[in-house]
Amino acid sequence: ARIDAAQQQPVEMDADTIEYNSTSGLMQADGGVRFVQGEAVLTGQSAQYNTQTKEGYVTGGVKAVKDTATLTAPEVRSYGDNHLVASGGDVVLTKDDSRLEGDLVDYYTDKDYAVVPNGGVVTMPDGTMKADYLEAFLKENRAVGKGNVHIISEARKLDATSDQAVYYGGQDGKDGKAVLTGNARAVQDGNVLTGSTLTITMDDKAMTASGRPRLVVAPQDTQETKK
Amino acid sequence: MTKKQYAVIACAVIVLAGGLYYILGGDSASSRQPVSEAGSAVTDKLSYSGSSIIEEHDGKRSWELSAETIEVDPNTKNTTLKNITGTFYRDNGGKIIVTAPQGFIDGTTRDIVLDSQVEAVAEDGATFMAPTVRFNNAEKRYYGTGGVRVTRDDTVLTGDQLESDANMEKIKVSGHAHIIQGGKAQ
Repeated sequence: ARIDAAQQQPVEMDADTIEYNSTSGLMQADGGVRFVQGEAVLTGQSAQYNTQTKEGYVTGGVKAVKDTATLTAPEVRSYGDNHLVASGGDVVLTKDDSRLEGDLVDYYTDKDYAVVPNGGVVTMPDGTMKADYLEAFLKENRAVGKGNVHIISEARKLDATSDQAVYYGGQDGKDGKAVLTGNARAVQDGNVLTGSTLTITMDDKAMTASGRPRLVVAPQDTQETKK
Repeated sequence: MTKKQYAVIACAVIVLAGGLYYILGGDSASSRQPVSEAGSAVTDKLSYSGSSIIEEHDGKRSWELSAETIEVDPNTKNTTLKNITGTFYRDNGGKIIVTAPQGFIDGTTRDIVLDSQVEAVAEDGATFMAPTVRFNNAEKRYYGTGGVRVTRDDTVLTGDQLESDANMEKIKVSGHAHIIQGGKAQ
């Protein structure tokens, strides 16, 4: 990642002990570490920072907070002021109404853009989307899923799968929408709609399909019992 | 003067010289420079003013301390100094100039303890401050206590205590350790 020196802000560390090698430029902090880089504050058990490459590495129940985003993980690497890579399993990134989970989350704090390359789940007010590869555009409340996409919305009684999907969380839980492409299949209130592309609008439970669409409507009584 | 008188005077000179050598002479591997100025009358304590004590190791100077007053205990060879200016030589050829109101050199280990606010400045601008600093002569390591502060370029490191190599390059601070790099100097 290119590190723009002008962008570089002070780096600060508090800990029980800090070792600093001015020749190699390496800092090692241990015990109750608080590491500040840019506007991100990371806490954990141990931390290393390379003053020459501007790369940090915090381990031990790490929590990173920047503005309204919070990232928790077993370990977090920081690259310059705006790039955090959290890994080690059980990584959770939350920001406002969005929540991203996975083994590894690659988070660009300045753009509020995160990638979950090894598969994960994004949760928005309307529901969740699981996929082999996830991208989250947190500012726009939008997420892209690729590979084995599975969308579930309890509130909308929706269960949909596809090869890829773009999920729009809308604002304040309204205007949510999902566009599923590739072997798209959606089940809502027992009705099943398939096609190569499905567009589902969450509020009014409407679905449009293209590419050999097929709709199977569940008999009325089944729908009643479902309600 | 008769032959006999000449013999007596010669014996007296030999005894005096031997006594001085015994008091000041070092017997360990590192040679210790004799104090450069003759002491005043021999009393319980030999006091030296405006002198310096030099430590060399394998023919290379490790450190030298100058002080307004130096008191050497002839039995233990412990040395007490007042208003000290010291120079510690780094492997890279640089120097660290250290000042302290008072100090103590252990006659056996030649460890140095500098006290009551020690300040050190290296030729590359690095600084180091602590109420008390001990220089372990065998390990060639500094130990600072009482609240330490190290600065180097745009890095400031503070904490309760510090341990550093003789070149002040590898530094460990423990207890409320804090480091800031970049940004305004604290």
